Amino acid sequence: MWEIFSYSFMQRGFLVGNIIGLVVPLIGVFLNLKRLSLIGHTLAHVALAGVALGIFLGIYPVPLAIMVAVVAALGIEKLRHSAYSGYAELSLAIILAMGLGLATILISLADSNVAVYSYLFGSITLVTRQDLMIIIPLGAVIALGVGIFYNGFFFVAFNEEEAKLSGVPVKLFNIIFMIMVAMVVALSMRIIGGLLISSLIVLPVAAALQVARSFRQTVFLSMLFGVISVNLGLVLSFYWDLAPGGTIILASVFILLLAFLFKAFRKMRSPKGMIIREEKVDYE
Amino acid sequence: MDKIIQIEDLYFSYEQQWVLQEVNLEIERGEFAAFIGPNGSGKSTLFKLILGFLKPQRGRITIFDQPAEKFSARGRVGYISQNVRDFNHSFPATAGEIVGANLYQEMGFVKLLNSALKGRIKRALKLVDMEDFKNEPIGKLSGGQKQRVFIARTLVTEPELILLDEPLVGLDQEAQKDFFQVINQLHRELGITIIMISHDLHVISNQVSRIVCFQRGKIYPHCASEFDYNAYLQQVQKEDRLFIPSHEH
Ligand SMILES: Nc1ncnc2c1ncn2[C@@H]1O[C@H](COP(=O)(O)OP(=O)(O)OP(=O)(O)O)[C@@H](O)[C@H]1O
Ligand SMILES: [Mg+2]
Repeated sequence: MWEIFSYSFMQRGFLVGNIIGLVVPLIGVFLNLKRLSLIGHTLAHVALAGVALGIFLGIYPVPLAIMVAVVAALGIEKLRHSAYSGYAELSLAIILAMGLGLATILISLADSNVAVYSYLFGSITLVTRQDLMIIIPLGAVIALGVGIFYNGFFFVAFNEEEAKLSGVPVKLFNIIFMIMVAMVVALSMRIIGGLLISSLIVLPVAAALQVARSFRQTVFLSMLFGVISVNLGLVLSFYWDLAPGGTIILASVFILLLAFLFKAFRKMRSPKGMIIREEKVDYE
Repeated sequence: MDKIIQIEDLYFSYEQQWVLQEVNLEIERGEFAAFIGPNGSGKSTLFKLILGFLKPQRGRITIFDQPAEKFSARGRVGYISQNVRDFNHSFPATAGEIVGANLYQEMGFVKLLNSALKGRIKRALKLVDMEDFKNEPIGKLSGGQKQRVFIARTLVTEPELILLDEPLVGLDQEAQKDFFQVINQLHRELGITIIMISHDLHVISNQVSRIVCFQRGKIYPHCASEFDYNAYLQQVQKEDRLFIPSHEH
């Protein structure tokens, strides 16, 4: 039963997976509430260009991926507030196209499809000591950063304009936040894969939104669901020999379905008054 | 008297045209003033200038004896913007969390709420009679209840001046009455200076101590007395037919 933990690559997989499972949904809450949930998808494609560049140059690609993703994230932030304020998704699409174009060219130059494939779909067996050395400290920095700036991030996510009025350094916070997002995405590519990161950003948070009754609960439940998904996914992937990215995502889909059920159940049991209030039309 | 806001010979434009010109206005501590005027006459713009979010091309604005653009004691001024209610109504936050966000400047470097600040959140909600809704999701409150939460949000920093941009929009008569009850209490009992923008002349004129009229970028700082406000209405209607006061309530 515990043989799964006797392999050192699985130990590393679980360690990295749990860090990712906590940090990605934590960042994801704020991203989703800012309506930027597809940012993970975008940055993953850009980070892929960094990975391909690293492979092409024959060096360890993760730091390059992080750097490229950070630059792209700052680019998105700039576009979002200047050229395309009001159409946040347009700035995402632009950067995504640029990243994918660059990645395609670099992949064809690098000529190492196996390595690229592992970053697209994730792989546990490939988590190395080198990965641990970078993922553990950065994961800790990100978790600490969100902890320290929690209320500021919350205010900015709720209403940027008002936050500015109340003296929150909105611009600085957005930049810090975007750098964190880029780091998280580049780090998680290793285990869940670039194509699937946005699912881990969205699904645990979507499930939490169904159940939670406050912002604090939303954050807590998102992280809880993220961690459950990762562990369940890793176990399934080990015993059934499946790609971990896929099993992790399907586990989080399962949790989302449970959350829907839970909500329906709660609605059924609530007194009539509650239902009327919930469905009251807003006349503004 | 103590002048909270002083505006001298102010000119402002976003692009080519002056949105405000030759504006002179003083607001004294303890006033309850209303800004009225047609759509696009620069009322919201003047609020933003007072708050220092916009810079005038000419002239001076002083707030609490400091130039508006350098004013930093945000907590002394409460502001509810015209579009305060177009937030995402499924945002997963409680009334208490929304009110607490405004305490940002009072939190330490690690931005967390201590028990003293939590007490202030409770008191602010109590002032608007919403303490029972502290843990309710904000999106599930009615329009009037949401508005009380937003008022509580400005109150939590214990402001001396509150600027309300069209707070009556979307409120029924009952809710408007409740609104004025809360605002009058803040004005009379806590001595908070209040300026509100409204199109509801009828409702406003019985409540406020002073009306400031806006028209084509100019303002008339004492509409109700020096400049008769019925004459103002007629003039505006004749001139551009923009301003149709809502008497149908
Ligand atoms: N951000 C902006 N950029 C350019 N022009 C603007 C901007 N905001 C307002 N304006 C213009 O400035 C003028 C005054 O606008 P303002 O919002 O102050 O009017 P208002 O009196 O508050 O009107 P309303 O009653 O409709 O709220 C309008 O002509 C408007 O088109
Ligand atoms: Mg306005």
